[in-house]
Parts: sequence; structure tokens; C-alpha cells
Amino acid sequence: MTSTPQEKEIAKGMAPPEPGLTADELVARAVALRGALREGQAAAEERGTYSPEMHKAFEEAGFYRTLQPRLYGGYEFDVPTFSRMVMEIARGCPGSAWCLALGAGHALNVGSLFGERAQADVFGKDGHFVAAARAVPQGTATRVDGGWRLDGTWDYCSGVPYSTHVMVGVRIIEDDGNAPKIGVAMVPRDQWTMLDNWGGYIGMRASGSNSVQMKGAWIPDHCLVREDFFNPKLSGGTEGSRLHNNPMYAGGTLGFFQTEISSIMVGVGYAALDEYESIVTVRKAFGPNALLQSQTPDYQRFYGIALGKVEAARHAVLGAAQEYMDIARLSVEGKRTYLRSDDLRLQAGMQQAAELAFDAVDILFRAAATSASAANGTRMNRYFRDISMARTNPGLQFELKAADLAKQLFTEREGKQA
Amino acid sequence: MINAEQAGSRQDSKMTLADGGAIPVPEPKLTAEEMIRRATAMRQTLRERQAATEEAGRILEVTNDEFVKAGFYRIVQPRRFGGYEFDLQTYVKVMGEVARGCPSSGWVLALTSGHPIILADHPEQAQIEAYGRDGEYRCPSLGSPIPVQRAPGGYVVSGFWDYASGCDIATHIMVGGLVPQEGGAPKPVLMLVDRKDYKIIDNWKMGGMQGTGSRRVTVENLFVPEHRVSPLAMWVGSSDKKVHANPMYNGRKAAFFMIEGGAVLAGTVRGMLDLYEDLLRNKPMRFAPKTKLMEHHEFQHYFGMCQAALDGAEAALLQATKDYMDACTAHVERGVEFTEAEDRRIFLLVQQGAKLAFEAADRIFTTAGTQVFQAESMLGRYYRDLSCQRTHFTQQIDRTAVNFARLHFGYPALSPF
Repeated sequence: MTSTPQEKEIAKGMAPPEPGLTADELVARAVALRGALREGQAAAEERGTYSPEMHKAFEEAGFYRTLQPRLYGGYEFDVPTFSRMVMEIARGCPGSAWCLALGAGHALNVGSLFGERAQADVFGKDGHFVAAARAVPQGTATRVDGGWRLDGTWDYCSGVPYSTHVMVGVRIIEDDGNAPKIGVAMVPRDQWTMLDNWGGYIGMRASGSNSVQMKGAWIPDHCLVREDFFNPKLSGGTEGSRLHNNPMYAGGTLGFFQTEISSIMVGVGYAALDEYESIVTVRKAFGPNALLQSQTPDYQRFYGIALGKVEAARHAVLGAAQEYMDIARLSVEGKRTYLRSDDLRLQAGMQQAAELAFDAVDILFRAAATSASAANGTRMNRYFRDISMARTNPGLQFELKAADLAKQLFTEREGKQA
Repeated sequence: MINAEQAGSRQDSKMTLADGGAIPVPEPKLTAEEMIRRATAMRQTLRERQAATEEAGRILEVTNDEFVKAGFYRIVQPRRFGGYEFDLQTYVKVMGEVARGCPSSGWVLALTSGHPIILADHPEQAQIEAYGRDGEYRCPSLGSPIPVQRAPGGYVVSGFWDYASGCDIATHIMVGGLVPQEGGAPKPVLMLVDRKDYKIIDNWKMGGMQGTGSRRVTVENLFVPEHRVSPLAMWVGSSDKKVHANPMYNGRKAAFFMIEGGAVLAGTVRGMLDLYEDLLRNKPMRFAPKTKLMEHHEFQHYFGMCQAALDGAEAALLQATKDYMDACTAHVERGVEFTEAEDRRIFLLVQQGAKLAFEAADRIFTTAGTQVFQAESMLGRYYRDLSCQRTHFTQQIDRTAVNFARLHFGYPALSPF
């Protein structure tokens, strides 16, 4: 399992498949896939994830490498670029976007949390890396010779169908008599089993959120870090940010996780707008000699309000993604610290963006009427189911997190005054 | 095409009534309070049948039988025709309790048992026929009108209507028609059709309210005699030919129709709050110290807010029933016109109450945890049912707001609701 020095040399010399690829071109490729994603929605729901062909298309487009370090064959674009790409994919198929974003995004966390040896290991020879992540420590890591034995089952591992690895929170069991501590383990696919237990949910069916089971899995020492996945130590930069000389790898976890989720929500908002437009431009309003709904103020208003909300949400997410980059940079430069409250604050803003997107979908779902919205098999119905499901995600419980944010801020400010 | 005589003979099953339609009430001493108590007592059973009802795609026979036995279909049925003729508050409370146990069954009950009030606009003869000898009357009403042809003594119609909630257990349907007028726009009417004269096509495949069996009904070359046709009151106002003295039967119908749906909606969210309370009492927090959710400050806040929103919704609904009766009474007793604007104003009040209920439901749903979106989750079913109700054409508050304002300022409404 451990890499030889020779392999590390290979890894260090790795170039991305298309060294000249630009961020705008990457996003344009996502736009170009929207039609195929829309056509494949029903099948993706049925399958529980996007198709192998779509996976291939995502791989060729470079999506999995968006945030992967350049050193290991990635494009190392910034977080706003990742967000824009995800929004476009979600506009084509929300569930597929959930699966893609939560498989492709965690290259950022690897690039941040793990050391050089581990990174050289996991990004491998060809630089193809996809990793579902489940931060809640639902399993244990036990010390064994040269590494760790892992046991447990982690649920909701979105993105796992096409994952080469998973990153999971673990409780570290050591013979020192102390209570277990928390860590993050990175585990290659040959050490775990993806359970066939995704399905039976009403929405986000294409998100590939199967459970991952480990029974006596083994990883080398360097593939486990003693960090709280939700709250890693960021002060003064991270090991990964120094390795890659890029402050992007020194940001917090919640701010980034929320970027993944809220970008999807914004995409669903645009998807619902597209669908509403296709409905009202063919249906007539009420009465004899009726105009098309799209020519009637009561139907136009809904579109305008929903578009405004989704636009605000998009700007909020992209703005937060940029601020994530900026604070991480200032933190590495020693000009300020990336505080816990920064992470919670960025998350809070993007939770509100998700709420705006939901408001928009809700408005359009209602306005499009029962036959277009509530009947099985319609796209509007699917978007509503998808975004309703997403709202139950713990990361979107904005009221629950709001008090945490306030408490954290007040505590930090008291500490400063003291 | 069959001729009028042949068609008429198909319609006469309940025509031979000697006493002008006086029908005994099954339980003469039954009180409104007892009726509500029966609905409350049925809630748990209805909950247990939700999954089977959804699977069947219609109200279960056993549920319907129990509703019949409890007298639920007769709550606002005229006393003369074997009904209890209770007030609208009783109707709203019973419908709410039933929907709280099963939204789909509540919907079918509300929309079929409420329609004696719609039927009241029909000529007396049609009502005598509808209630027959025993007063068994369960009747969905479908506004979307289709063209009908004039024939001697009545009309002939072929075609279909979608969304016939409860058509499987109905004794009749009331369906919309457009009667051609020489040199004018066709006149919208509501026609009373017997169960034996329509066929059901099961095209009801929905993400929510699947148990309502709101299927397509079709008729073919059906003759409808003149006395079984009345103006489509929901669109054109109340009739001046009063069969019943009780003002409840003599108002405009749109607001009443909204009250039917409003009662189901409030009951649906009340059912969600029941489950949420169970969850808060029993589920621990995911992280340490793993206390029960009900001990957590945030969930206490959520629960209080949900209670307040839902109580507000129900208060608005009950106020709407009172305003509706006041308008009916003023019209009948003092000759004060029950205006279209007033009808819409009450309609809006029910919609506004529904908004509060949606607020409570959203909070319940988003804070209860992702497992509520599992396909078999009961809370998830309530949410899907509620979402489906939200798409109903009567729940478009923005449209109604414009129409109310137009009527208020003297302009015609743009659409019926």
C-alpha cells in the first residue's frame, strides 16, 4: 500500500491531461452537458446515480480534477470555478450534480488535510481521484502494525458509486486509556464495500448516497490524520497549503462543504426556471381567447420573482466562495486567521442562498399547477422532490446553526476584549 | 346517439318518491360534538391505513363504509333529505380530524360530503332524485366545463373530466358543461349525473394525495334532463330559487369550495405536528450529549412556532366559515347582496390561513431529519400530500389576490378564483 519513492517521483511530475484548459472552458463544458443530463434524469433516478457514459464525459471534461492539486495531475482551479461548474450540472440534473459535486470536491480536503506521502499515494499514477466523504465518525480506527485497522458503516456517502476512495471521520482507539479521539481516514476502494442500500427516498435519488462498509480495512499510517474533519486546525496554514503553495488548501471545511451543497441548490433553481418557462410558453391562461400564460402578468410575476431569488442565491454562493479563497490567503499570509466563526459565517450565508433557491422552486412548483408539478414523472415534480430532500440535509438546518454562529462570534469577541 | 326518452329512463332510478323527498335521519339525536368525537376516535385507524390507501390509489371501501356509518357524509346535508344539517364549523372540524389521520381520505370525504351545499342550487326535483329514498349522497363536483348539445327536454353530453376525487365511492358526480347560446358566449352549467352513467379511467398517478382516486370520469351520449342542470354557481353567483330555508345553502359557492380544501389542508398539517411531537419526545440528538430533541432549546423554538402558525391557520379557517355564514344570512334575511368580491375575500382568508399552515409544515419537515424523506416515511407522505395540495388551482393566492382587487375596484375577475 505504501508508495515507493519512485512512484512519488512519478506523481510529482504529473501534468493534467489538458495543461491549457481554462476555468471558463471547464464551465462551458458543463453547460454543454445540460441537455444530455436533462434527458437522462429519469434513468439516473432509477439507477441511483448518473450513467457510466456520463461518468466518462465528466472525467474527460476534467470535472473530477477541478480542485485537485496541479502537482498531482489536477487543474487546481479555484472554488468559485468549482461552484459554477456544479451549478450548471445541477441545472441539467440535480441528483447527478449532488453525486458529482460530493465525489469531485473532496480533492480540496485531501489537498489540505493530508501530507505529501498520502497525497502522492491517493492521487495515484494517473491522477484520477474521486472521493465521497462522510465526516461524522461512524466507525473506528484501531492501531495495528504500520497503520490502522478500520471498522464501521458510514451512511449517506454521496458520490460513492464512482469513488476511487472515501474520506471518513473515525474514532481513534488507542491503548492509552483515554477516551477515543477523532480523526479522518482516507481509504482506497479495495478496502471497503459499497452497500446496495441507496433508494427508497423521495428525492435526490440520483445522488448515489449509498453506505460504505469496512470490516477490518487497512490503511497505512499516513492515510489517517488526527483532525476533526468538521473543524481542522487552520491557524498558520495547513500542510497541504505549503506543499502546493496555494492558500486555497488552507480554508475551513464547513465553508467548502456548504459551497458544494448550495451550488447544487442554485442549479436546481435554474432548472425549475427552465421548466416553468417551457410550461408557460405553451399553456394558455384562463378564459375564452386566452393568451399564453407567458404573456400574462400573473404567470410572468412568478418567473420574475423566482429568477430574482435564484440570481441573488448565485451571487451569494459565488461571493462566499471567493471570500473563502480570500480569507484562506490572508490567513496563510499571516494577515489574519481563518476563524471558526468565518467558517460558520460563510456557511450561514450560503444556507440563506439555498433557502432563496428553495423559495424559487416552491413558487414555480405551485404556479405550474397540479398536472405539471404534482404528477409523477414530470420534471417540475422531480426538482421539487430533489430540493425538498436537500432541505432535510443537516448542512441546511440554518436555524440550528444560527445560534452556533452567534455563540461562536460572541465568544471570539469576548476573548479578544479579555 | 340514444334519444331523450331512452336516456330519461336510465335516469329514473330514484324518481318515484311519494312524499316529496322527506327522508328520515339515521340518528335523530346525534349531536355535532359526538360527530367530531367520532372523527377524532378514527384518527389512529386512518393513520394505519395510509400506506394501503396510497397503494390502492383511492379511498378504501372499509374507510368509506365507516364514514357512511358515522354519518360523516350527512354533516351538511339538508335535514329534509336525511342529513344532520350541522353548521360549517362542525363540518370543518370533522374534515380536519379525518385529514389529520389520512389526508387523502379526508380530501375525498370533504369534497364529496360538502357538496350538498353545491347541489342546493339545483332544482328541487334534482335534489329529490339525488337523495333518493335513503339520503345516500356522495358527490364530487368538477368545474372544468366541456361543450354540451341541446336536446328536447335537456342536453346530451359526451366527454371526460379529470380530477374526480372520490368517484369510486360516489353516488353521483356533478360536472361542468358549456351550453351554446345563440349570438353569445356559451353558458357554464353544472349537471348532476348518476353513478351508473359514468365510467372511471384510472389516470391518477401522483407524487402526493395518491389515495384520493382523483381519476378521470367519462360519459358517452348521456342525456341530462333540464331539471338536473343548474348554473355553474361557482362562476356566476347564487341562484334565486331557494329550495332550503337555511341560509347556508343559498350563498355563493367559491368560498365554500375553498373552505372544503382549507379544512383538509389544516388537518394535514395538524397530522404532521402530531408526528413531529412524537419525534421530539422520542428521538435523541445525533451528537453528545444526545438528549431528547424536546429538551433542546432550538427544537422547543421550532415546536412553539409550528403550534402558533397552525393555530393561526385554523383560526383563519374558522373565521372564514363565520364570514361565509354571515354573508349567506345577510343575503337571505336582509337582502344584502353576497357579492363576488366578498366571496373572493373569504377565499383569500382561507388561502392566507393555508400560508400559515405551509409555514408550520416547512419547519416541521426541514428539521425532522433526512429519514423523513424515505419513501415509506409517514411524515414524508404528509409532506408529499401537502405539496400536492399546494399545487391545487384554489391555492394560488397571488391570482386570487389580483381577482379580489379587480372586483373590489369594479373590474371583472380574470379567472374563477
